Amino acid sequence: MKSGKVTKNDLVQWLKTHQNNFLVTEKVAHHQPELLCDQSKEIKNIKEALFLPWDKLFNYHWENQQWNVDNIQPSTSPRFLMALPCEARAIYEVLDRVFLQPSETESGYAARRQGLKMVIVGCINPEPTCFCHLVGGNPYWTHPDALFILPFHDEYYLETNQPEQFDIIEQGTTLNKSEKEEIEVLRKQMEEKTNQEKLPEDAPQGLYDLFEDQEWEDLSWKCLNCGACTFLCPTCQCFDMSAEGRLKGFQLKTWDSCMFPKFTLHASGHNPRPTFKERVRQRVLHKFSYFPLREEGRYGCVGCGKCIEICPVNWNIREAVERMVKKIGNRS
Amino acid sequence: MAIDLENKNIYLPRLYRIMEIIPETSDIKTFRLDLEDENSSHLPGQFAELFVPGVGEAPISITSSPTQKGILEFSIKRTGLVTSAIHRLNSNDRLGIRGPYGNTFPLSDLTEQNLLFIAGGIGLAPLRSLINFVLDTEKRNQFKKVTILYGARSPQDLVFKWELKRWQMRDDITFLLTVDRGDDQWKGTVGLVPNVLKENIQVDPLEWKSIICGPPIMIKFTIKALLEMGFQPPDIITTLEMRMKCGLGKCGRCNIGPYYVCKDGPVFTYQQLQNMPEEY
Amino acid sequence: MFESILIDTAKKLLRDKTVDLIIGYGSTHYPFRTEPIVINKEDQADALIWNPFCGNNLARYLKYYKNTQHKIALMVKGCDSRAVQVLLKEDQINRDRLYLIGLSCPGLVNREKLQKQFPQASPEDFQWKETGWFFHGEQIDPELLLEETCLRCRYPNPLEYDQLIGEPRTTSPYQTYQKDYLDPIDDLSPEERWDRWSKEMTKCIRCYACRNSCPLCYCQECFAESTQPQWVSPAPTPSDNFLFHLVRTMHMAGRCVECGACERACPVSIPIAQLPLKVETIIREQFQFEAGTDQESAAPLLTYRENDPGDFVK
Repeated sequence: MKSGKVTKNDLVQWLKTHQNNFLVTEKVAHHQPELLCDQSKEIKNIKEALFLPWDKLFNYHWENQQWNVDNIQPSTSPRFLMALPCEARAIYEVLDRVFLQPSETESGYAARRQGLKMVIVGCINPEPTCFCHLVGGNPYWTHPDALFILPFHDEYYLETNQPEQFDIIEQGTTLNKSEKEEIEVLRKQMEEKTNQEKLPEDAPQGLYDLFEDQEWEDLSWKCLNCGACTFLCPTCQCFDMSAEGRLKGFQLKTWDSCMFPKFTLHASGHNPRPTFKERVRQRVLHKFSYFPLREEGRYGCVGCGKCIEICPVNWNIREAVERMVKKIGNRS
Repeated sequence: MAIDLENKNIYLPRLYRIMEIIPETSDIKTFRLDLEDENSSHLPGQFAELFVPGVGEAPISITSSPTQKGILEFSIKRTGLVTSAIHRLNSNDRLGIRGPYGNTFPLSDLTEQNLLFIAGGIGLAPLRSLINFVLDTEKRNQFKKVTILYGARSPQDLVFKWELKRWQMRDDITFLLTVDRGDDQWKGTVGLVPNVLKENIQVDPLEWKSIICGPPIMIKFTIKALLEMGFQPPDIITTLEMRMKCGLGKCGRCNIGPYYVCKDGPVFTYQQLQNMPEEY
Repeated sequence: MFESILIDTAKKLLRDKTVDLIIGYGSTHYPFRTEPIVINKEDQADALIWNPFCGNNLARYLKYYKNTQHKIALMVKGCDSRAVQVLLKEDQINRDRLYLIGLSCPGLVNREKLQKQFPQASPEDFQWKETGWFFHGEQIDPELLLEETCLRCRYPNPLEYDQLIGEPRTTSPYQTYQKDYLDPIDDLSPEERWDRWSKEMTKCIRCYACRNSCPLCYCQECFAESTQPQWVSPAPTPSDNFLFHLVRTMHMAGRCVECGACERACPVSIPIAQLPLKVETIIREQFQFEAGTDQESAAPLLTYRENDPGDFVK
């Protein structure tokens, strides 16, 4: 791991040289507006950089009395993406595990992902709706492949395992012993907080066992079954596919939501998740039970709190999970 | 996670020519596709995504056996947008296919076993792939006794009538046909599948494996009957129907518990189903 | 003071079995936010609240009780009561099954405006009294904080209720401020308006929060999600988004009660209420009709008269 510190000015200069190629999430823009440049592009939700709201999968057309399909070669140029730790975890811990599965890698996602250089901005201003500690994250979480930056005594601390990708690190001055200790202490504090607050180890299985619990009925009452939470969620990866255009067109991939009644509706009219209760339970359990049971305990939620912030009826996934997790305890 | 950039487009279908369309019932047709020089790589129980350009995709189980070389067959009930469009196609039209997807019937668990097949209505389609696999000249001796019980609502609702005759004529299997309601011409058994099963089939439940497929209500009562007969949950094998889009465990809609039906299913034992949320 | 009257009322309604359940507002863990709640036991009534952050139009929830036998008490502001009136007129619910707890409403506070005006303030810094709104005892000018849709409100009192909480208001925000959310847009040229809305439509992600929070969007199958036939592409392109919102707007014409719930629900801050509000303004001016205030005459778009005005067709 290579680390160092640069002045704010140097960092901003570096960002400026790459600004035509820089995506910045709304959260970073909101938390640290000083890192924004004129040309950097703001995105509402980190997944928009990789998992597009709509995408063309292949083309088709009618010609010479028959149908033809044509592949679309995905292409992308290298880009930087600046995001908070919670948002970055959505990519490393969730989306990559879905779309980069060996032998079933989604080529469009892979191409965009290959070109992506992640800049993770340490979170210094958590919001009341945040809960990254509960799901194994922390405000200084980073990934060795990313460039981690953190405001540090009027300067910025930098750290990466990929110095050739992030040349700014070469401008950095080494931290002295006490500065290094300071960073380590900060890190340790946050990791301890995570260890103290994170959901119990048995939460995924415990929640699974509460599938039939009456509480889901109460919990789902106020939900309007719109897709705001799932569409602004950085980890929600469900999608739909449909043909767009009659004689000439493309296979379209769009975001879809387990909150929509039609999501699971069979052509026969049968719906395995017919009411609010089943749909709300699906959203909670997919993130907090099914995904971790499948993916070595990793939660399908990064605790960014976006869904709580934007819900028209203040439906609160954290409260719901904590309420249900408490029931696991009472039971045993 | 390493990024594999050599990968192909997992969503791209290949177009195959429809060789023949066999009308089965008023709303079911079987489509036989010409794989030209290829042989299908599927195994019994798997399904494929069928694509009609300009309309969309639908997941359909493969009804032909992999032992049938150079072709793929799908029996399709007209229910929604895509299946209606498939029904409008003609011979020599091209249909998009991607797959095969999903798990298969547990072939290794079934070899050297007595097999009881129970199907209702169009539910025979996925079982037919396995039945014809088992009955293939080269494979038949790998399996022991075979009994097939097939039922439909009425004689008009029976599918693969041309194939049923072939099965009926074989002397190495037991074949039972039943309908819920007969008509003037019907001389065979009348009765619901679970009842006919209990009344007419005497097997040692610990020596047999049962493979069932049909409408949800039929599956439910057939499993109940099998349990009453003494079958053990691991020996009851069935397939689940869910709305599926990608076929690859990504799009999320066929998720039940930690499983994706399109990837971890559609074949499950009753023992597995007992440990899954009943959300199908 | 009004909250205690509200709670007493609620308790009595449940105790006397006048109703089976009460749909109202409750508090959340987060500042300046409320949530819809349903209660059916007397001891749950203490959870009910009433403040200028009670922004959901609770008439939305009546849809889910259409085929039940419950007797329902509903907290209604002026706009919400208009929605109930439309639902009654459209035969979506039976009046006998409803008990309307009317709220005389000073208007809702816009959270963004509040946070801009008082950046670091917390809920304890404010008093939302009947006599006015106060920040550390100092009166706040409501005009600074009101939701844009509330600034143009003409009906601060419920038009239909079984019991009113609070004194009826004698003037409406519209009379007081003579301001309309639409004024700045009306001043724009058609090209400028097109540019403005095209930009707004790029933001829409088609989550349908606007539609699902609307008390009057109750179609069994929304045209936007119909696949046979397909009217709108599921791809959230600006043109498809436009199509969705414009068709929804036309579907609401003469029915929208101008509550602004759609706009408050929007997670990407599109001023989406402006579309139906514009249509309602035209209908008010040209047809002298306001949805939910007139239970007798048919909605203008459901009738045809030879002398129908047509000046708005351009």
